[in-house]
Amino acid sequence: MSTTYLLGWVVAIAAGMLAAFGLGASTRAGRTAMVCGYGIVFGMLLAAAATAVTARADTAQAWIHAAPWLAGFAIVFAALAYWMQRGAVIARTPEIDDEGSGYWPRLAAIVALASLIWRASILASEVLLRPTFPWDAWDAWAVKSKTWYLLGHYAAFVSPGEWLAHPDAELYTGPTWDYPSTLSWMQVWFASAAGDWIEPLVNLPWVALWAGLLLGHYGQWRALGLDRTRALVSVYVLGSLPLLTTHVALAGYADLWVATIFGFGVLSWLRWQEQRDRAQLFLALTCAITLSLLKHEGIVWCLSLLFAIGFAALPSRWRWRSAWIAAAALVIAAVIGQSHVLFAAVGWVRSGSRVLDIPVIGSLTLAWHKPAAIGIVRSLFVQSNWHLLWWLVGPIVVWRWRALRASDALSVCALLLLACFGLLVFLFVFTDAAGWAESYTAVNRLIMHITPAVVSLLALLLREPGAAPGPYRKVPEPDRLPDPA
Amino acid sequence: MRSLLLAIALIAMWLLVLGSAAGVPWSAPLSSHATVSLNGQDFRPLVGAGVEDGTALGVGAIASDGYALQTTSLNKLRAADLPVLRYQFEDFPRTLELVLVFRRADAPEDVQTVALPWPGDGGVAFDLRTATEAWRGEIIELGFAEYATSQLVPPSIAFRPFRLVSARLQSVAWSAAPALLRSGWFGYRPWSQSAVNAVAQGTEGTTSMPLTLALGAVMTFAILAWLRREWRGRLLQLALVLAALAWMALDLRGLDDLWAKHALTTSIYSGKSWQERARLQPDEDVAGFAQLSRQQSSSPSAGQRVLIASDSVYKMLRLIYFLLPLNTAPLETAIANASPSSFPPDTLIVICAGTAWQYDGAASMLRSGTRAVPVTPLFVGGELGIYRLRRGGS
Repeated sequence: MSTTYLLGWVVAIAAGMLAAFGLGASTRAGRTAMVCGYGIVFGMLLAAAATAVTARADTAQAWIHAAPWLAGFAIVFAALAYWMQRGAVIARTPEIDDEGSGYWPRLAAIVALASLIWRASILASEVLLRPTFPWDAWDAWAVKSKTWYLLGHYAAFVSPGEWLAHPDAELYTGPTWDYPSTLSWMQVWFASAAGDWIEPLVNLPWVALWAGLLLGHYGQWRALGLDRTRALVSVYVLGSLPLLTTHVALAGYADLWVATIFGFGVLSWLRWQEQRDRAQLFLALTCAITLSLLKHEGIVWCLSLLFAIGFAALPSRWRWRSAWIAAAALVIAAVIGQSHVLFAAVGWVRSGSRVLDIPVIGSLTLAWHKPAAIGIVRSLFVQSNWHLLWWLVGPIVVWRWRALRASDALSVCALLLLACFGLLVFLFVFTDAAGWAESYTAVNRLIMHITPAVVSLLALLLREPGAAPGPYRKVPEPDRLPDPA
Repeated sequence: MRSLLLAIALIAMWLLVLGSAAGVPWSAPLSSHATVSLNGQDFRPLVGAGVEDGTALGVGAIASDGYALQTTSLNKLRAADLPVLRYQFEDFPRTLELVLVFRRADAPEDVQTVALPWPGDGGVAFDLRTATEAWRGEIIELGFAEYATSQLVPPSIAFRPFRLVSARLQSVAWSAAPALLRSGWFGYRPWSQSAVNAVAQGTEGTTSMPLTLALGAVMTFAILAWLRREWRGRLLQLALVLAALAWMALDLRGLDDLWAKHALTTSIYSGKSWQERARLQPDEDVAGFAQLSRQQSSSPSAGQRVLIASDSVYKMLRLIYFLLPLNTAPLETAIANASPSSFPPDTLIVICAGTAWQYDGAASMLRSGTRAVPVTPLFVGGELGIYRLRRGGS
């Protein structure tokens, strides 16, 4: 591992942490973990953005071109964010009794932490040894990055028809030519820092992503009122999920990125709801937009999250009225548009008598698929993908039903996750995407997108009564406190 | 008295749950009433080389086509009576996968195969009823085949000598349940391409560890809540403890599985530079085709286009990936979208392990059905053909 490669990491993560620090200055509990977690993940994504913008002409030296811009952006952004929140180090997060935990819960938390550290060491070693292995990693996600890096500059990927129509142009094609390029640019950053196309080093961000996912969730859970033991045990639950572990060990798929950003978005949105911290609302919106830049399916989660943010922002008496009005408007638009409805970021969605044509997904024939329903049940409850997570969702929700009903933020979050899950069930059970559930090729990966958010919901349902922080309020700095006299 | 009742109820319940998970019917006897034992020396090395080593069979080499096979003839054993297979190997390399091979009297020409859990050190038990519908009728031949683990291990380094110690077929009995569960839950299964879609740990026939532990935990909770009245005030803690224990048991199994998979990766790639590891591709043949193809192509900056065809989608896509940053596309896609006459004149066509496209030397054409592309051969050898497009195509 070369010095420049390490420098590439330091610059990316430092930039991300700096930006996250600017946005995370308003809390005390969990701030360090939140800044580290969000910083690691967004640092890598900011590096991708800087590379895409500044290094197209010389991808071999991408990180050298992009690093100054990245550092400059992070410093200016952090300063601006910090300035806007100056004096906002709050006291609204209630004192969480971390000392009161009993011996056994603390021991469980320590064991959980040790288990995660051991797992992390195995995962890092696995990724650092192996050439890119899983199918879509080399067939889809690394094609653009490897091409751009080894070619030395950017070249557009186009459809096969366009590629053939322009035989003299420097155009490339492939089965995944229209996939979002964010992760490809991130890989270009790390390849250029490594000085060669070294696959383990290009794939190492997936280990960092996993660490960022856990740290970010821990920090946000703490900020949302979970005590240290519960937060650590919840991190263990999230970190020990077998499918997430597999997506790190066999690095290269985009799904873990989508899961992480969706999880972060939901957490920031929850903090906005419970604490009215505008920086968190900004983060939630950033996460929503980022989702659409990672993977086509991310557009659906992006719209879901944006819709939920808008829904929760309405006064409670207006929410369902607005939802019905929106649904009626949709029906009217479909009638007027002769079954064609234009959706932001998705495009024209066309519905026929038994056909649904969605641009980011394709043409879907509507029908009931019993084997797909069985496939979903097997995926959630029988296979080894999730340990006992989905067995526990029902009992915990029933047990903590009052807490769920009492919290507006958690209720709307639960509705969002229910809607997302409902969308997946509809996709797999009522359309010809059923084959993806019957063969297990996509069902688990799509469920994984919402899994960290589901763990967040369960963890927050289990927090001590009264531990939910109150609304965020700026507190005067000490030198501005009024004179007691 | 109540404690005794509680212990009996818990033991009976877990026997029921674990026995069901192992696929052992209640009517099964405690020990097997029918057993056929075979020593390693009873097997003949049909493919590859092997010698008798005491009562075992030492397998010292694989054949040039990349596998070894040892078989023995059987005297029309009734498969239904002997569904449990136990086998033992020594020094079996982690880089190989093991396959059971058998023939039935009703279809002696057909070779049936079943992938088996990696034998590791010590014996493994495997329920053939749940693994394959082909285990029926009368068995006339049984054997083991060993291959480099597909899509994971480079064949050139996969083989190391090992010993086939013994194999045993036996009827279903309660005594086999622990071994069946052990290999079902903890049997090593290497990474596969489908692992990112659905996690497979152990061999998981009818045996789901999450399902078993969830049902066991729920029933344990019910029994404890029923028979331990003093715990009824702390049902919540009881449920949490049971859930935590079940989760940790699953996670320990998961970590064990991750560690076993990592051991294979370590055995192949550890201590090697990136250049060496890059050469150790599981599909060494395709990597070699890429190297030969690159020798026939211009530099990537020249903008030359390369069209690839193969009978195997996997090999075609792998070749495309290995050839990057050459400007490649599948030949079939190109032909479907445009006439070959519109392709750039210096286009290369690479046929890799493919029979759909055949070179017609007399006409200097590549043909697939009614489609023809005029080409000049640059390299043709083994499973690889490299051609340059010739002007005048249709």
